[in-house]
Amino acid sequence: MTTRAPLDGFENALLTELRQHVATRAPAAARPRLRRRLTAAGAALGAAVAVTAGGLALRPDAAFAVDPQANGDIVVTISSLKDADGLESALRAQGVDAEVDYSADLPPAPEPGDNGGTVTHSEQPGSGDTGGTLERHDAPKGTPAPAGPCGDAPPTAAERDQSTVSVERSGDGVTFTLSKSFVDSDTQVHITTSGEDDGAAGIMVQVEKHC
Amino acid sequence: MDEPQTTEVHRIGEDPDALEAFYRQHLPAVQRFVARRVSDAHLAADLTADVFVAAIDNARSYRADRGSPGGWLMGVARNVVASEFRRQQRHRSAERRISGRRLVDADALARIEDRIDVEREARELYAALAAIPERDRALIELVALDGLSVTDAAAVLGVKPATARVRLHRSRARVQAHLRPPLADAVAALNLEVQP
Repeated sequence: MTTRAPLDGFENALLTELRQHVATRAPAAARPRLRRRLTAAGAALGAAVAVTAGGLALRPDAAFAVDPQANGDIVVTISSLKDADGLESALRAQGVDAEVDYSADLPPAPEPGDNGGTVTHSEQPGSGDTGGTLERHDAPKGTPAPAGPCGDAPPTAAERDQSTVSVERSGDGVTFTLSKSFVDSDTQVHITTSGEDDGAAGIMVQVEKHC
Repeated sequence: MDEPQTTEVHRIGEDPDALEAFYRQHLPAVQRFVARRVSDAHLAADLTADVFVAAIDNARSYRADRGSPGGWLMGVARNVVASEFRRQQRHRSAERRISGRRLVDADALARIEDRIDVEREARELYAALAAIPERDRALIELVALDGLSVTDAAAVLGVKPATARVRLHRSRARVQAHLRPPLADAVAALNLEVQP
């Protein structure tokens, strides 16, 4: 290490806040054990849709894990619906533009100019172990493959595979893999829930492509 | 694999003292990194905070076999800044754990502005990089703007050095077409050789 100038007021204040941030993340700060029942659903807006659903219980002491794989994909495990900002930040650090909102009842509406359509999570809080269902307002089930999200050709099977997010139950909660194609790309991953702390909740992963 | 180095980085997510040592060591590099990309002092303060928060939250992902802690942090910083610009383009604001701008006093603001002045040419280059595809931009940013070797930049981004070199040659020509002589010459003179 080299000798450095002393920290100025901003740098000291930031250090203090960062130390506090680390302290509040420490294992000792784990919250009382809380079990929740969740359903999981995954969807990709505009690009592809895949859904896996089921009931599960989550642990509160390790909120999430973000694990980059050797092939560039990123495996995300959510074991507790806490620390949405932390997950968002961890994904940003991996180059994935993510918005995580564990308090939302519905996913955010697409911005003007997005052609991805809207997705509604129709599951009601407290409905038990059944999986959520998804409705695409602009592409009802059974219709032929729509054009690409940006008005281009329909995605190929390979592209569809790449942009699909499948959410699965795992021992720790729910797990899904974000393709490396989402890293440093024009897509944004929305991870949202419905339901409150003590009730049932759904987890939805949406991939939104911006044109 | 350098185990002590890995442990040192992993601990910044759990141990405030480990975080402080890491912060003191890497803060100057992060501040210069940010100043090469943004001209607004308040945003620079926010992004400096964001980079360290992201590093803390993501500390467990560090692997020594993919580069030095400093290189890893540059990768984190690049992603944080790129994400901020994507949000801005879509008129969305970030929700921040720590608001850097709230911590800035007049003296600190002047220092940040000085740093931003020094990096004016680098920001011209950064603007020119917008002309090339994202996956190629990451490499040339780290090499041309931040001074990483091709090997280090490849490690940060998880690509093979030979692949990185090919991409850099391709994107260098595109970037040069968007630059005036001093910067174009600097980009032309980049050493794109892969160290053994």
